[in-house]
Order: sequence, then C-alpha cells, then structure tokens
Amino acid sequence: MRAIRHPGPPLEPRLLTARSDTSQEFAIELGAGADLLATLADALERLGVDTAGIRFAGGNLDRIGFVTGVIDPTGYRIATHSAPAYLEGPILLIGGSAILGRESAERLRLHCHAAFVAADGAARSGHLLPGCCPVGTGGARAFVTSTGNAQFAVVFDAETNFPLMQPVARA
Amino acid sequence: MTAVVTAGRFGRLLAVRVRPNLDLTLGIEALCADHGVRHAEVRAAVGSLTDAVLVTANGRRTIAGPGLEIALTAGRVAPDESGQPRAQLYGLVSDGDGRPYGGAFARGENPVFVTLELILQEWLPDRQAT
Repeated sequence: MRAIRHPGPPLEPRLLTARSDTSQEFAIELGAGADLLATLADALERLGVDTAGIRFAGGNLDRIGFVTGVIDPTGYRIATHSAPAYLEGPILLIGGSAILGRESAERLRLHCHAAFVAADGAARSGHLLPGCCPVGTGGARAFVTSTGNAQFAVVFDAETNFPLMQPVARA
Repeated sequence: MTAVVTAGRFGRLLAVRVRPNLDLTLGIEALCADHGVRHAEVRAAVGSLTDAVLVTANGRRTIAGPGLEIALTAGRVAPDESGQPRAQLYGLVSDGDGRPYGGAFARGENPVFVTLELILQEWLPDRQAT
C-alpha cells in the first residue's frame, strides 16, 4: 500500500470524529424535473437537516453531469477534478452515496458519488455535479440518515489544500 | 438453517473524516475500537482511494490510481473471535475515465487518497429472532 505525500504537512488526528446519540431516518422521492442534488438538499434544509448521510435507491435521470479524479498539473494539490462530462439520458441511477454538510452559514454542500448506466448501456461512476442531473420520468429515491448533534462543516485542509467536510460537534 | 434473523436497533452515530494514507477498513475498525462499538453499519461513505485492491470470486484485482472515486460502500462491523471489531466492506470505485470496478475491499490495501467522509452507526442486536 503506497502512501501519497500531499503538499502540506500531515495533520493529526488521522481520524476525525463527532458522535451523536440521536439520528433520524427519512425516505425521499424526487419527481421528474427536479434536480437530483439541489432538490434533495433543499428538501432536507426545509426539514432543518444540514448534515446527513444519503443512500440513493435507484432512479431515472434525463441528463447527468459528473467529474472524476485526475492529477493536478499545477502541483497546488495532488489531485483535482476532471473537466465536467455531460451525458444525455435516459440515465439509470443504480445507486450511490452522498454526504450533506454545511459549507457556510447560508449554504449547504452535498458531496455525491454515484454509479449509473448511460444511454449507451455502459456503466460508469463518478462525482455528480449539483444542478446538472435533472430527474426523469419515474423519479428517483433516496434514504437519508440525519446526524443529530454531529455536524459536517467545510474547513480548509492545509494538508491537501482542499476545502473539505470535517465532523464537528454541534454547539 | 438457511437464515438467521437478529432483531435490533441503531445506536450511536459517528460522523467521520479519514485523512490520507489510512486504510479504509483499518480506519473503520480503529474508530469502532476507540468508541467501544462492537457492531456497526456504514450508512454513507464518499471519498477517494489512492489505489484499490478488490476481491471477487475471480480473485484479487488491483486498480491503480491515484484518485479512484468511491461510488458505493456497503458493509458492517462485527466482533471477531477475540472480540475486536472487524469490518467487511464491499463497494464500487471508479477510475479517471469513470469506469467502475466492484468487489470486497481487501483489508489493509485501500488507502484513502484525499479524504473519506463517512457516517457509521452502531447496531445494537437485541436477540436472535429465528
């Protein structure tokens, strides 16, 4: 197992954790025309949920926009995202996971990786882009676990030079 | 006996970030040991691996990165014979072209690349129902 050296010094602890003794479960159905990620985040925010783990349980998309991981040619970071790829539907969303967290006082972040079958019949997977994945006929479904007193919040990480979601205990 | 059903409920929830170069499976096991969690389920996981070693019925397969996106992770933690938490994790990773590869994550051979965001929840078995 090889170790990668990131641009900044290794930070401790290597495992960051926030614990909650409470959580809630939700099932969400998204209808045709909704944006997969933005509509999901909006629905959860209206319920007062700003941190959650999400499991997609299949769905249909009219279009999909996604990126993958590539080496950062500038060296500022060890890696960056590829140029966005856009595929026209019908796209079958097989499954995936997302983490909802707080990016700022006004804004949530939904970090989503998912697997799907494109119109050409090929299975692919990657990092989905908010605002680029309209739900198609038949809708899409997700199960959500909210995290009670444990919150994910975006923090600049000086080891990797990325703003990343990290767990914090809610005040 | 073809099925064993255990009733139970979810307990404490852990929101976790795993930093680079820590193995996915060993990281989850260390986390459970630190918090006294014997049984747990992965509720959601999003992140990337430097390289991946996946095990299927056809054997072990190494997918070279760096920068494999973890698209799906399912799995559980249960105590081994000595009572230590052991994680069995399954999933799908994708390479830079979006090609997916699936299998069981080989213990100790799947280092986190940039980050892994994880929600792990304790499972509290009540009794064996059948």
